[in-house]
Amino acid sequence: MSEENKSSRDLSKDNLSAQQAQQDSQQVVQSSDNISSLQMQQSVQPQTPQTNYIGKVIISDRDRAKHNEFYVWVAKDENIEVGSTVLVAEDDKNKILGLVVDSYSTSSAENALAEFYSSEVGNPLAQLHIEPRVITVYKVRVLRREPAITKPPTSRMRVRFANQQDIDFLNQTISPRNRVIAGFLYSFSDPQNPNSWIPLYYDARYIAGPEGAHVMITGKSGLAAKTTYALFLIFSFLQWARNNNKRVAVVAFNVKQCDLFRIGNILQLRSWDQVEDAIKRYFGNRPELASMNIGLWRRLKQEFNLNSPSDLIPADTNGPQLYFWTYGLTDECIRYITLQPRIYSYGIGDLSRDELEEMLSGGDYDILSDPQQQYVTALAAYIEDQIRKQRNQKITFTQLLFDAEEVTRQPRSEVMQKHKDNIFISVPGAKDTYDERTIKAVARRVANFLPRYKDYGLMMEQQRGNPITDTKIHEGIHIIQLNFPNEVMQRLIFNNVLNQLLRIQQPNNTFDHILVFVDELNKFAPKKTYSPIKESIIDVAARARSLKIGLIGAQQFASLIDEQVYGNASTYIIGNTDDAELKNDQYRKFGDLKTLIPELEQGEVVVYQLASYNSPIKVRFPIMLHELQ
Amino acid sequence: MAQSSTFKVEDLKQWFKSTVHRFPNLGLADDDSEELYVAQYSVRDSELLDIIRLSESESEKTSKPGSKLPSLQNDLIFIDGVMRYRVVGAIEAQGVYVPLVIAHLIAGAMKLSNRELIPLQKKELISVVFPFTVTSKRLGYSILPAGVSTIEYSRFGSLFRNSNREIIFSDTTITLGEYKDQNGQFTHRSLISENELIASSKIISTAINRVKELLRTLELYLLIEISKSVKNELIIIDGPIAPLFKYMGLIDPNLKGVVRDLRDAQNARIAYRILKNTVGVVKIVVKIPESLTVNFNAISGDAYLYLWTRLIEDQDAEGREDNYLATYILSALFRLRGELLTENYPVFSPTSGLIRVDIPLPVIMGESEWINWITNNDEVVSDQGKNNIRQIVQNIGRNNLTTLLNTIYSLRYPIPSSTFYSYRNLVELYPIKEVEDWLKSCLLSKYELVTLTMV
Repeated sequence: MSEENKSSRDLSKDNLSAQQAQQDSQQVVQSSDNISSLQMQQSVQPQTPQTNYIGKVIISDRDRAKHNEFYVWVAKDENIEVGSTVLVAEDDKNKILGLVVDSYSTSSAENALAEFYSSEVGNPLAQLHIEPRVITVYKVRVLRREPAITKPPTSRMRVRFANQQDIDFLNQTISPRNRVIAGFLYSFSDPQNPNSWIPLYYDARYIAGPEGAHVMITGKSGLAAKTTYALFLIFSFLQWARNNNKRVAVVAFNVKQCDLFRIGNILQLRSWDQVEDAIKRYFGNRPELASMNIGLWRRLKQEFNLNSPSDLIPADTNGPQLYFWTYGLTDECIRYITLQPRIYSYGIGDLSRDELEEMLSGGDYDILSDPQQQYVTALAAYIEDQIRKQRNQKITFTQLLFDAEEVTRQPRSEVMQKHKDNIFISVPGAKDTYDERTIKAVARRVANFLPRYKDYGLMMEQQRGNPITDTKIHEGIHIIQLNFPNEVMQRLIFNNVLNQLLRIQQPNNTFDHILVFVDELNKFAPKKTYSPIKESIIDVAARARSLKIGLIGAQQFASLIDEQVYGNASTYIIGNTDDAELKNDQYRKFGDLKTLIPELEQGEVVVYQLASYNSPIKVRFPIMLHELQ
Repeated sequence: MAQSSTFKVEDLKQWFKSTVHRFPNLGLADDDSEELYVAQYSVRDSELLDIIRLSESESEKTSKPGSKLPSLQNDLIFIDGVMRYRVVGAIEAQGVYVPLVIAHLIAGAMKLSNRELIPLQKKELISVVFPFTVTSKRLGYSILPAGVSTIEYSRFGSLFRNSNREIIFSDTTITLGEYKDQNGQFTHRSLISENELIASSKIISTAINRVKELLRTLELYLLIEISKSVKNELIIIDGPIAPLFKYMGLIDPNLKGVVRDLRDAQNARIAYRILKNTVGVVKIVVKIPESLTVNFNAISGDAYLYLWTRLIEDQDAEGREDNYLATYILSALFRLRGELLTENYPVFSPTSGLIRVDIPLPVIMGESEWINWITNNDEVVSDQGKNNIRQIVQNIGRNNLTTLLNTIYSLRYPIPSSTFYSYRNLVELYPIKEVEDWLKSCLLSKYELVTLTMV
């Protein structure tokens, strides 16, 4: 994306609706009453070329104008979309840009009865010689004003649609070198024309540090909004990085199905014609969506300066910088990739203390009794100590499983007699401090856990496996498979990789930025439950900004995420979400636009980056290219 | 004979059943003060000319799916006026404090174009109303500002020099218009005498009535302006036509004769040009022909067309609607929204919901015919005059009348939706309400009115 304002790019009809271009001229009541008969005959005045104002600011007792929001009336039926239309109110001294966040239509009819009677007493087919006047009122949330004084409008300023220059003015809050495309506003003209799509930007410094970090994406599952938007944001960020010579690593965890493993399909798209044909096929009987997506990709092609669709994936002299990690060749998602996958595995020596505790508690640390928690903590410390000081080379997952089974089958005394080196008995205090039942309970958990998940990234036989370490993270996109049935394993690997990324960035950032994307963030940082890993994730979320790591978390319900993780984000995105979920406090920040959210369609989200804009804004984004095949 | 024992409720019910027609709302709707004025006076000097069926067929046709709304025969212009007054102070006249009224008046016109009402023109006036002459006489000197005369004495013929909110002074010592005295001379009558200066309410009510008359004059001025340039448009004015014309002379001295002497052919000619495109719609029908038979089953869908056989003028009724009925204006009475009588609107009399459309004869007559007729029938209609009208109404003029009345009738929906005066929902045309709302938004607020007088 070019760093410069594309003000030379001419919007077709300057963000005006097609109806405006054909608007009837209006009669004008002259301030002087001396209208000659000639003027009376010419009472329909031809419209002179001038700014096309569509309404005025309302200053009334009922609809009061405030410093951050006000109402405008619009006389004619204009294409104004709540959530994404930007209007300009101006007079000789002031200009205010605002986003339409609500609307209603009204007339002089006082109530439904009057309306009923007016239609020939309830005749829906009645045709009348007079159409009672209908006025549409729009609520406008102030985005930016000039001069920048916090005060309400003090005159009935005229109102028009924002044009490209106005949007440029709006975007000036973000320096051109920090602009990452957040999505597009639609000008309601030709959807296939790239100029119909006006880019809205994020400030890159608030995505992955240093000013702010983390992006929370919320929305219903099944509508493909969260993952699609996350990828759109990732590509947008990567393009910004490319244009600004930034080294960026993206680590994306594939938590569901094989969604992210299909990204490689983009590399098979040779031409933009191929893309447009694929879009038309994909949207089949919805040509309007096909047109929009074609237009969006045409605009993105310009913004990202892409010669070929495959240019979306970063590349170097060795080829595409796209790396796939999985737990084994049995992973069915491998069939979607053409590149050679890398296989990870985690031996007992690869896990941190927190991860050991998580594994030893079977993922249920929160519901263990106090003695059991204490024992798990002691056991993890012991194992870690033994491995770190190389005192016991035999400690492996296999050994742990064997020892666990032994403890569950036999009384402690017998184990102590026969197998003094049993890990469970070797823990300081295991012989006398901890109750036998406590030890057995923990051992049972381990004995249940390990056999079930040994095929999902665990190195059983050796102390160390092939973990994803700092030296294996390169510039480009890393897709890490976490799509297995157990959440504990997901959390373990996620936490381990996250800590590796922290290590990469300390003390001097190896990468300019790292983006981490994970779906179902509520599994990793759930509200109200305690686990050693969750605390670790919270710590990462808090510190990542200074290390220029940005976490992109997607979830169906933001209300299920720990507040310390969710609240630390600088950018919030929401797709279609149910009313019931929207009642929670996390969504209060979306203000009037909350009513829009249950109606959002595929390709629409409401975005909110407080550092850049005063208001959430509805934007559109295109389908990702790999989804077309 | 002694009376029988107490009259019981059951007896009352039986008597009601056999004697009294119930109203559709059973008397349960809320009161509306405006309805008290309807059919206050019956007029003997009236003659039923015809009953014209108001066509439902237009609404039946257009209610069918796929049918198209036929366009109106004429373009329509609607005229109405609004006013706001305040008692802003008092002038002391030897110990008596006499209240002074200031008013803002606006008359405006809107045109119906493509089913939308477009503002066309408006005229404004600020008036200072006070019994100047009698108070000055009590004081021994004039209390008017230097160089200013009241309109009653000096502005005859040129009431509106500047049309943009000019300030005029009006003297309520005397009537605004001139009336024939015992000697047949036209002169102003006295309204307030010196010993009535202490009667503050009378001073104020006289001022308010004066303001209403001035508003009518302003509407007339607007009507004359607009009528100069209309070709086929029909001008529909809110209220009766005849009272407007009383003050023609205030607007233009050449028009004085239009009020006083229509026997003169030149005056008749001038009147023709103004009246041929104009009708008035009266929503509160104060005067009603005594022969009008009304019940709730009849007069719905039928317009009763009447001729006033004598000029009727209420000299004591400055400011009152319907204080002037002219022979040259036919009046069609009908229920505008008969269907709503069974809904919960104020209907407390058999005459509820009636409107009157005042149709000047020039609307249905040619100019020469008109001149011929009015020069002989301006104050009292002769038998020959009645026959002439009957023939016109039943033959050549019938089409015009039918079309015109059906045009008005076709405008009955939408309803104007007024809660303060709910009776108006039965009788007011929506476009008139729209003009009123527009003009009201232009009126000075009470604060601005008062501020006009502050240094």
